[in-house]
Amino acid sequence: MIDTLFAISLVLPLLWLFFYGLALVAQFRVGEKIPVVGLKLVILVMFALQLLMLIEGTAHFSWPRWVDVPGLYEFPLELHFNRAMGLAGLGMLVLLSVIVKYSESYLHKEKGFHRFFYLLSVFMTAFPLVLFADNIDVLFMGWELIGITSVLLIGFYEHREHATVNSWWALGTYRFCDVGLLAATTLAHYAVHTTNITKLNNPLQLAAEHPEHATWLAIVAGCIVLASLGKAAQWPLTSWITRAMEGPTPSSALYYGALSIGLGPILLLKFRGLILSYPLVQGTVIAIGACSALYSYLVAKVRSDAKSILALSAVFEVSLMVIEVGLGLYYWVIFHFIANAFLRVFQFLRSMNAIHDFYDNPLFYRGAPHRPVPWIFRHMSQDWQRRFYYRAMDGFGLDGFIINGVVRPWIAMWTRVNLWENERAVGEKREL
Amino acid sequence: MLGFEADNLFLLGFWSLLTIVGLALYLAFQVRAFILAPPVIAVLGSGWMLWGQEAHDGPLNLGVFFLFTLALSHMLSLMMLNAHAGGVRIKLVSVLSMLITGWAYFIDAPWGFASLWLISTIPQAFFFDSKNKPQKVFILHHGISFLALVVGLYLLMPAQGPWGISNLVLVADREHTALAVGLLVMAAFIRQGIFPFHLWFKASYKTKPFPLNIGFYVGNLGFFLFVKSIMPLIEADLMHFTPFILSWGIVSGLYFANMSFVQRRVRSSVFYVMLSQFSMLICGLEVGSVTGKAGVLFQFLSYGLSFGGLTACLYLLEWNLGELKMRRFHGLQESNPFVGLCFLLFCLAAVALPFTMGFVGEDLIFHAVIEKYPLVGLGLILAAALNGLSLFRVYSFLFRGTRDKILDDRITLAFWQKAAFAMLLILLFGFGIYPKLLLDHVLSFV
Repeated sequence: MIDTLFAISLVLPLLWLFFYGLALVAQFRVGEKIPVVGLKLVILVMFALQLLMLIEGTAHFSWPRWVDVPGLYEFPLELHFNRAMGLAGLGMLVLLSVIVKYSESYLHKEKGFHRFFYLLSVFMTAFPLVLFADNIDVLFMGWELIGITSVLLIGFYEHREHATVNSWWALGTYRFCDVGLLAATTLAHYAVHTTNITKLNNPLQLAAEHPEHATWLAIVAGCIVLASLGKAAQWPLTSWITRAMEGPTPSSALYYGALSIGLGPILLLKFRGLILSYPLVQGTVIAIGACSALYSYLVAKVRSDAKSILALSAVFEVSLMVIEVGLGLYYWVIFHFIANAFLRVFQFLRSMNAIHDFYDNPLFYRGAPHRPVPWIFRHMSQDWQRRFYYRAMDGFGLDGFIINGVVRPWIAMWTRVNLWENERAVGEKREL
Repeated sequence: MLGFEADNLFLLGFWSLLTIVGLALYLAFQVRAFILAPPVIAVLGSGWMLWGQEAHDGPLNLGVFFLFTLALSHMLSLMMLNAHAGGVRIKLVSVLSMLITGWAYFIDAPWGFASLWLISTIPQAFFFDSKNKPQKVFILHHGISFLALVVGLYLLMPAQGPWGISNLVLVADREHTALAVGLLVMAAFIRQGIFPFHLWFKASYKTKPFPLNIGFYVGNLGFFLFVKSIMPLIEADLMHFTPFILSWGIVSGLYFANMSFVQRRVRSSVFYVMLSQFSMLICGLEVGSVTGKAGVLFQFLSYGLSFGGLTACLYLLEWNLGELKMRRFHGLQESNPFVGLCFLLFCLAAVALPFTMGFVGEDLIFHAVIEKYPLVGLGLILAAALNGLSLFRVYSFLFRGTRDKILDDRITLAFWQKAAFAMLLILLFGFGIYPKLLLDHVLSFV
């Protein structure tokens, strides 16, 4: 019974996606009320179902032969509900309902109103896939869908060219890191013939069963860490997060303040058994978390726009979660994830009123923003403090390195090859 | 005799007759239904054979699957094109290419196959404006490809007895197998546009008007030869060739993925992505496993549909707006929201969005390759990631930004065109959500 309810809670958003999408593609006159009411209803039903499952404790969904090459390859759709992830799922639903309520008026009569709500619906479908996935393939499906909706929401205001260019940054980072997840999937299949997360979290047993491929499991763990860097905006892939603020504020709140950014540590958490079995990988996770925390703290201190400061603060919190995963603090991470998500969503949604809140709102009044020198620089000379200040202003040259050190030389090289090809193919040595 | 199978000959004859009559009627009356009838018949016929194979006596010819893929892509592309004048030349050339390629799928006699191999390039040669460099490049490449095919087949010709494309592995003369297979591989690679034999593709895309689906009509015969004859020969005698060809496929995929990123013309960028994705098919085949082959055939249909849709969208846009370049953002989303949405979905399907056909096919291929060559196979994943970036860049340049209000860039879609878009999306997502519906049938070919 409880398994059926779990299946319904997974299929329901898919059905909503299908009918809403059909209505939009068929160009029916869909009013603004329909997605708002529809989404709220779906959220309500999903919430009730997940609450029941939370009380029950565990549920399982499996479509064993979704893709099947008999005797050689299987890609089962396996999802497993447990209490910890269920709590995160409930948190997601509550936040989503807040975002829906907020966006209803925020995007009223906006050209992309339905686009926004459709992408939100895709997010609602994909997020449980990541949370409850019991194999990497299913996790990858949800992971990809969230990435794509994130990119499309960054470029939501399509007439702004900057928004589009910034969405490329996010996509570039996501695609680079998704290589890690896809590699982990295929390497796990190669090495131990399974992508089941529960089994992969028991690497000692797998290594005993497949001693010839035991080292590959460490590489799989490394790939998982790489995959988590992008979504969580961990160092050195942090710079896209401030560029992602081009999207509408509600989506920034949901994605980069709360849930999408939190998927990095959630991914690590799902593979904690695997990661914690290899001290080198575990150490790397802690080191990356520490570097990212320091970086985001310093850069956030000198930023002048509210959304960037909030995004970098979210990165700071997420970095702490990454460290916590590295230290093996399971329930602590879940608690941190939910608490951070609620706080950041509130702050993001409130950010447009920041000036009013600072000066006029008695609930928030704190006077003019005061920025003391960060404690780690208090004992430095003013000259060094100034140097650090300027370096932090340009993100310690991270963007510059990526643009001038990686992207430009790479494009210049391939442009030369292209010109050479043009001459050979059409007799014109110029860009066609 | 040419060696056609009796079952297929009826379908082929009926279809050819219908094509010729349809072409004549179309030229006389310019009614779209006449030119649409042949591919519809081919889709229905081959689809019936494909899905009704439980009732089929013997093993199905691989050509049925290829014909189904080609005809489906062709039918939907034709439905998407504008009905009015200007597209007549394109339609004629595409229908003729389709007919010749369809015959080549079912012919078993090697010399007959070689003749059709050559003849199928002729309609494309008419696209070139005059005897300029692109035409020379095209003729040179296809001339070499034809020569390599003929010499390769000659070297494999048995001293006596019947021989055919399908049973080459059983009866071929094994004195110069390595050289012969090398030549056949070269012929197929030139035809498919595998690096470094792809310059004819670039030359073709310089032509005006838009060479719709050229890659799919002309190029896929090379892939067909590879699947039908070359792979069995390699698996039988030359397994040590496998890592070499696999690496070649991966290098090719990576090269094209990088090249697509620096293109200024929209069509060039799309075609480089197409070449890159098609290079991955070679890798899936080369590992020789059932999973890889099933993935390749599954993906072949997926690419046919998604790239067919992409090129048809591009044709529609370029027909209205002239050649599109990525020097500025065109902002077409505002005037063409439906085309923009379809273009985005085709792009995502082409680079394996979850719940589309491409996702399943790519998953099967990646697993098959990495199962055998774990580190080399990572190149495929990297190429796929780059292709995703390239196609999103193309989409952004076309549909994002501020629209040029002086231009009349609104494309009015007729009922047929909308129906074609809808069918493509249904197929891409339908087989993506429930892949077993297709995969079980694909498995019967491997």
